[in-house]
Amino acid sequence: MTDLHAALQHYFGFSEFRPGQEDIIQALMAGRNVLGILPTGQGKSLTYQLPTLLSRRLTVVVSPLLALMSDQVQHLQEAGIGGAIALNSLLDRQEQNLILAHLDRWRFLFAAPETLTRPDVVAALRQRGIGLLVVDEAHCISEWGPDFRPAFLQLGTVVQTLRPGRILALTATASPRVRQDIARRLHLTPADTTVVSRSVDRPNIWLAICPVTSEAEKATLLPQLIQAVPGNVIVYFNRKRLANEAAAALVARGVSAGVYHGDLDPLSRRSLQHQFRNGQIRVVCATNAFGMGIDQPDVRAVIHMAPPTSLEDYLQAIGRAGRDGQPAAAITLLAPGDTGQLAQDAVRGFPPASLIRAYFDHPDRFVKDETPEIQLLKRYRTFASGPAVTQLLAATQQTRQGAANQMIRFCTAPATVCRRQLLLNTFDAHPATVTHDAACCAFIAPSPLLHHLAGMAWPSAAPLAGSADPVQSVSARLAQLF
Amino acid sequence: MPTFLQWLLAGRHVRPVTLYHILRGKRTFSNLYAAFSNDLLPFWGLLPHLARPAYERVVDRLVRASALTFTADGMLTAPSRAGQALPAWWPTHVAGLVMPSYRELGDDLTLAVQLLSQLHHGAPHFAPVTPHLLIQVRVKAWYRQAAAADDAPAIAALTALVSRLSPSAATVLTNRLVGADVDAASWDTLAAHFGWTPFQVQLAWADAVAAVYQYAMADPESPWASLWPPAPTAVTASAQETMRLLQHQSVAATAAQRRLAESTIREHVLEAAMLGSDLVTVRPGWQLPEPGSDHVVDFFRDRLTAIAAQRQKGRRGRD
Ligand SMILES: [Zn+2]
Repeated sequence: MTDLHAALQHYFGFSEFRPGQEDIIQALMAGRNVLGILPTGQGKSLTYQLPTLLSRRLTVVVSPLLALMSDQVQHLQEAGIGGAIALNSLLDRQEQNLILAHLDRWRFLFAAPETLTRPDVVAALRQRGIGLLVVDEAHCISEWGPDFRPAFLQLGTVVQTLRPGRILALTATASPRVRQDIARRLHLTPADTTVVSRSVDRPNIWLAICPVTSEAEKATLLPQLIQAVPGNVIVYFNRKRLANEAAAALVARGVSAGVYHGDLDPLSRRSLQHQFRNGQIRVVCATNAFGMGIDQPDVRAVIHMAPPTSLEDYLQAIGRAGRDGQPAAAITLLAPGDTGQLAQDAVRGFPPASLIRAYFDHPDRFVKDETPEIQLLKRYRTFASGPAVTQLLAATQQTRQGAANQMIRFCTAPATVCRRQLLLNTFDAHPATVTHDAACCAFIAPSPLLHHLAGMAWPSAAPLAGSADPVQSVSARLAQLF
Repeated sequence: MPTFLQWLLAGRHVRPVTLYHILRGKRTFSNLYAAFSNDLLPFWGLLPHLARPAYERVVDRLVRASALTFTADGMLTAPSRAGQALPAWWPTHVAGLVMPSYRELGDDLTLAVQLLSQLHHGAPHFAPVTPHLLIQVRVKAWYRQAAAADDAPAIAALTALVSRLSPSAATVLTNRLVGADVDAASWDTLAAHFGWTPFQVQLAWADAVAAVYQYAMADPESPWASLWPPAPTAVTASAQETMRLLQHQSVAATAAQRRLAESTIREHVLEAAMLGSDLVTVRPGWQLPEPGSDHVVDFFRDRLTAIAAQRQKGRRGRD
């Protein structure tokens, strides 16, 4: 046990594990598979980094998002830990072949699930052998809808083909049904698998649902909320355009705000994260692309301008607030059209059964068809038959609708219902009973919401560092660089 | 982009879709010919990521505002601006086909400066700003060879290169570089600083990168010359091979030997005539049918003459 602590100190400079980390690492070191359910901000990545550093074998990390992979590799590099590479579409074939031909040079290989099913990758990995297969954001196996990658469903085959030494499935949030799905698809049996879970409860975060009358009211309310919260704020939007507009409006009012979405180039992404961390930007207006890989302790509020697509998403997002343990707020604005929109979004993009049949009967007729539905079917056809896809899509659609309905119920439950209790009941294996009071959660109108925020025991905020990098003269710039 | 298009089309006549392909750098013979005859070759591939709908929206808007007009045969044009001074952000160093992509050159430069800056400041944790592995490998190899022993010459050479840029280009370029504890200024910040649009700042950046590349490559002694790949040739290898064979034999024999259509061979000739270093005119050894007997070949002959005429005109114009 002291060995683990010594290694923690040596590689990461920490003296203590966070709750759950040590249990996971010990189970892995004992050769067991692990399903780890740790709330966001509990240092999930350390649970596979440390065992990898203590072994000579290759760790393969499956990540759902390109951005997430790059973040993780960058994180490792920043921590001075080399030997990490992301095998993804940012590399051309020649580069990928180079990596596969010299797999022994790497300790961490990050890849998307579809990459792992490619024959050349399978062959190379089979030769090198996988010590540990990590499935990050493992809930995607169950929840991942058709807008994303069906290849996540193929991880079961990957497990059977590559027979990794151990499997670590990590997720921040997983309802019991999702947990079962993860275990089933990854072939994790109770006999060889340890489940480590921590309550999702974050008692220092005040949960608020705020009904408003219109989108216009949201826009008016946002700057007031931001004024009422002394410190860093992340504001989530479900459309990129809205995030851009809101950030521009905030900047016009003198708030130091930045925008973050999936289309940003790496330089802008680095710059924004850097400025947020250094206190040059106080408010980030983002789509849900922002967050994975963000580990900023002093975010005081997470505001959702509309309910996210599932409770899982919600929990992930609000988990970015108050990681320093100080008071924080999670505020969700709810306009009359929002729940309808949520239900509508949940069914969008799913091809009807007749189209699936037509496509599978005559795929050649759709060669030039680039509608999202057909693109989706093209990806599915690489590994499944028509009837199987129909069934799979129906199931996925049902899951997504179920998730949306759950979110809708969470938002629209009567004001007296404790939202924290709802969260614990949904996600904790053994939910505790919440002491519900004014500091716990509220279904609350805008003006009492602002009043409550004004009365919260906020920690004193660090003064804002100068405004975001202004343009410098050439000579000043060169002097700063060298 | 609207102002850019108005300047770009001033006094030129080109189909909107062709101009789009020229800006994206989609290499087909007819796109090249349109670029050549409109003197648009330097702008070849300037905007490789330009989205078609966005482009078409801007064109539509400008046409509705009468800032651009369509001629009867479907060409897009704008009033000539001869005599007017080019805007400060106008790209004048870009060179289309004979330069690697500006994005790649810029990534090389940015990463090299980041590496240099971090190591210069003794900051050991290197988180490369560009995730592209080939660029990382290239820049590391460059660093080991050109600056690891002593980074002073590389830094001095960079300062010298930057000092040759116009003040605005130098400001844009240096403020987009990152280092040990230095972030890139955003396009928006720079745009506000200059009173330009972010798009115009991006053009100025591409042009500054192009200029630095040209200055560095023209001086083999520069530590920066070894950072970048050499300039590609404008004439494809295939067309060069055709021209080599045509020195000794007919078009028909060359087509047969290369298993290509005669029309392809003729396109190669036109390509070499437009983009090559030599002036190309019809030669007897090509054994083309007599003028007036084959209108396809006549068309080829006319184009070749037109190309030669335009190149000579251009040459005189520059003298
Ligand atoms: Zn409560």
